[in-house]
Formats: sequence, structure tokens, C-alpha cells
Amino acid sequence: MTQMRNRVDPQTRSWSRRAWLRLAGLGSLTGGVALASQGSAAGQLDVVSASALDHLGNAMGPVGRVSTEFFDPTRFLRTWNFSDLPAEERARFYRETPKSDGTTLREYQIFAVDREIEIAPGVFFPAWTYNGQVPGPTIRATVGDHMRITFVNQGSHPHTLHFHGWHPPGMDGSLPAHQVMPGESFLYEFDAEPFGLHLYHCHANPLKRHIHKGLYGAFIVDPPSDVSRPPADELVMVLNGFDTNFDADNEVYAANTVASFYMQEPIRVQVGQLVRMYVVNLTEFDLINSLHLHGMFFDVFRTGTSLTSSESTDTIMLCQGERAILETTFRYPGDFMFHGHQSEFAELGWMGLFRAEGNRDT
Amino acid sequence: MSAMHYRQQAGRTPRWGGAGGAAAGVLLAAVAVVGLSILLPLTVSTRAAVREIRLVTRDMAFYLEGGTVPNPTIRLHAGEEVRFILRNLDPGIAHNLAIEGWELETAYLDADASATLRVHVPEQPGRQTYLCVPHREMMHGVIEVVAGD
Repeated sequence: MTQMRNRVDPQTRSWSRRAWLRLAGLGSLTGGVALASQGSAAGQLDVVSASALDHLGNAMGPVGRVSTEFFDPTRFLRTWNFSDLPAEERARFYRETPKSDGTTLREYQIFAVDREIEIAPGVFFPAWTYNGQVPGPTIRATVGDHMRITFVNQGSHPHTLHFHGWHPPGMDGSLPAHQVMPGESFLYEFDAEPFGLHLYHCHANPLKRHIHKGLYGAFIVDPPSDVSRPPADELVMVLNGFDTNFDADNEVYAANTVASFYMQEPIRVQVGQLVRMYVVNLTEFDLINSLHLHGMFFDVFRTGTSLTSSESTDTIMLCQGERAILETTFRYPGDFMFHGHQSEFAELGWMGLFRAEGNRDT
Repeated sequence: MSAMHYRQQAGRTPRWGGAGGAAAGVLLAAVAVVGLSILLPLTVSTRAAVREIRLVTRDMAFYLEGGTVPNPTIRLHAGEEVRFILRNLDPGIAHNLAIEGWELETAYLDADASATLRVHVPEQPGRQTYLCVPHREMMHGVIEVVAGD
């Protein structure tokens, strides 16, 4: 939210938003017709009439689907340390070596590369990415582990890796002198601490551009094994937005990049099983973001640095870089909506469903 | 061709009879001879066919098509003709293939696009680097030129 934004006449603004939505809707509808997957072309086109679009209340998100060929938001939820890759390919990007003191040496190959990514059906964004994906790969360690992260900049601009957590100043990736130029590399080394939910992002200038272009990811540091958190179905959610027309305001919002993805592909969870969400807000341009879960409450562990919950609620607010671990257990089978409780964000893509399966937990 | 078609041909009065027909026949034979004389050296050549090396790019590495080794070492024979066929399997990232020591380079490819690089391998054994120009720090491998067969 900028001063510029405040000067814009609200009426004009809402119309431009609507016009944009219509454009995006048309794009995805055209794609649907080209695929001729279902319904007649005439039937699809009927939906496009202006009066129908204004009342597409039941669609709850875009028409059409985003390709999940190289980034699948469902898979991203439960992936860390490249755990989704076959062993041979994983070894290109991640290696772990037990050390004599019981900790683990974790070595990563992280690279920056420019990539055009699909953030809503038919809507492509010229992103800057870590390892070709937005959010970047989730990095996960146990407190005290030694991290050795080789960063190669294969992008077109200077970039860095800036981790939240304890580390020496030379490992901060924030000052101009820390910038890694295109074609160059840097080795980041530090011990993972404190335990909690952290993040990493590019800290090259201009910072807001480097972050909003997609250079960020989650960094989970688990507590020591003798006090570890109880077993749970663990899910990583990075709240983000995309400024598709570079006016320093977001047009698309999401949890894990793809607008409304989890409306179409609900997150499947089990009734009665503990669910743990690692939620990090990396939305640029907007002062805050939030998460609201329907029909139930969750326990909040802000920054994940305590094993004791600080509150029980159904809505949390996070500024950029703020994060929280949320724990809950689904009591009823069925679909439960979750979304940013800025309704505008929700309608522009930051909305999804949990689908709880199993019998009612009594 | 159906049986019906054959019957129609058989029942048709020959239209290429007489002197005109003979002239056309000679002309056809001449064309056939000329054509064969051009094509035969190619088809019965004793030289080996141009070898194809199919590469794909995915996850910021080169792979031989169907292979699992990133940026594999490629062995070529001195003096042979090879054709590199590159296909880009990284959607949203443009890649290419270059062998800078031989001043060869394909265009930058969008996802699923292909390009061909025809190489006449020099006679002297040695090593070259193949790479993707914009991603050369991660996407590079070795070409070994060994003495010909």
C-alpha cells in the first residue's frame, strides 16, 4: 500500500481490478475451449458474457488449471531438503553427513535462475527463482546442525541468500559487498539456530523487487530430538503475492504461489490426526497478510521458538517476514476453507480448502 | 487402392499409345537415370551415417535422452560427423547448446523446442567443453575427442 495507491479513485481502482479479472478469466476460458475438454465451445463462451462474470460467485477462483509439471503446490506442502526428488537427482542439491557430536552436516546447492512461472491459469509471471521454483526449496535442519549452502547465481541480476537466524555478519547476504554477481558463487556457512520457523530471501537492492519477484523460501529448524514436537502431518505454506503489471501492488495472491490452487485440489488431511502448518508471510507491498481457518481453532507457536502455544485462535495476522507454526486436529470429515482474512486477497487467489477424511473424531 | 480402382484402370483405353507415348517413355527413363545417378552415391556410400547425439536440458543440467547422469561426458571420434539434437525440457527457462572451442552455438530454446548442431569433429584428439551460455556455471560438460575408428 503506497501513497500512490491512496490517491487512486476507489471506483476507478475497483473497475481496473475487475477488468483485469475479466482478462484473466477470458484467457483461461480460451485455454479451456482450445483443450475442448468439457462442454461445448458455445457453452463456455456464454459464461464470458459480462453479466455472468459479475455474478460468478460460485466459481470461487479462476476457471481452468495451472500446469503442475514442474511445480506442484500439493507436493510442495510436504517437501523439504529436496525430499521429493529421486536419490540420484536429490544428491545434486542436498547431502547430509552425520557428525561425531551427533549433529548433522547439511550441504545444499541453491541457485538463482530467471523463470517464467504460471501463477494462475494462463497467467505467467517473469519470476526470479531459487532452484527454478517459487517459493524456493524448503530448507530444514535440527538445531545445532552445520549448514553449508553453495549459492550459484545463474540469474540476470545480482542476488544473495539472506537467512533469518543466528549467523556471523559475513554470512548475512545483505550489504552491497555481499551481492553475488551473475555467474558467481558464494558459500554460506553457519549453525542452524535457534529452533523455530524461519525464512530466507534475497537481500539485493532494490529489496522489494527482489523479494516480490520470487526469491524466498521457508527455513525450518527443529528442536533437539529429546524435546521434539509430536508427530504430525506437516505442511509448509508460504503466503505470497504477485505484481503482474509492476505498479508496486499485487494482482494475484496465494498460499504457495498458485492462485486458488487448493480450492481445486484441496489439501487432504485425516480426521483425528495432528496437522502442523508452517506458515511464513512473504507478501510484498501489502503491510500484512493473515490466515483464517473455518470451522475450527488452532494453537499458535509464533516464530516456532517455543514448544508452548501462546494462543488458540482461528485467525492470525503476520507482517512480512513474520511466521508461525499452527497446530490443529480436524474433528469432522469434510471441506474446511482457509484464506487470508483480507477479503480482497482471498478473492484474488489466497483461498483454499482442507479436505478432512475419515470418521468423525469423538 | 481398392479393387474398384484397379478395375477402372484395367478397363480404361490406353491413352499413351503411339509416337507420343514412346517419347514420353524415353523422357521418363532419362529422368530416372539422372535421378538414380544423383541418389546412388548417397545411398550406397561406404561412409558411416551421421551419428545423432540426443541431449535434453532439464533441472538446469544436460542429460542424454533417457539418461540420468547430469552433464555427461560425450565421446566423439576424430574426423566423424555428428549431429547434436537438443530439446529443452525446462519450461519457462531458455537454454541453448554451445561448443565455444569450435565456435558452434544453437539458438536459445523455449520449452519443448529443439535445435540441431551439426559438427565435423576435427582430426586431432583432445577435449572441448559443451555448455549452455546463460547457465554455464551449472550446465557444462566435457567432449572427449578420441582417435578415429
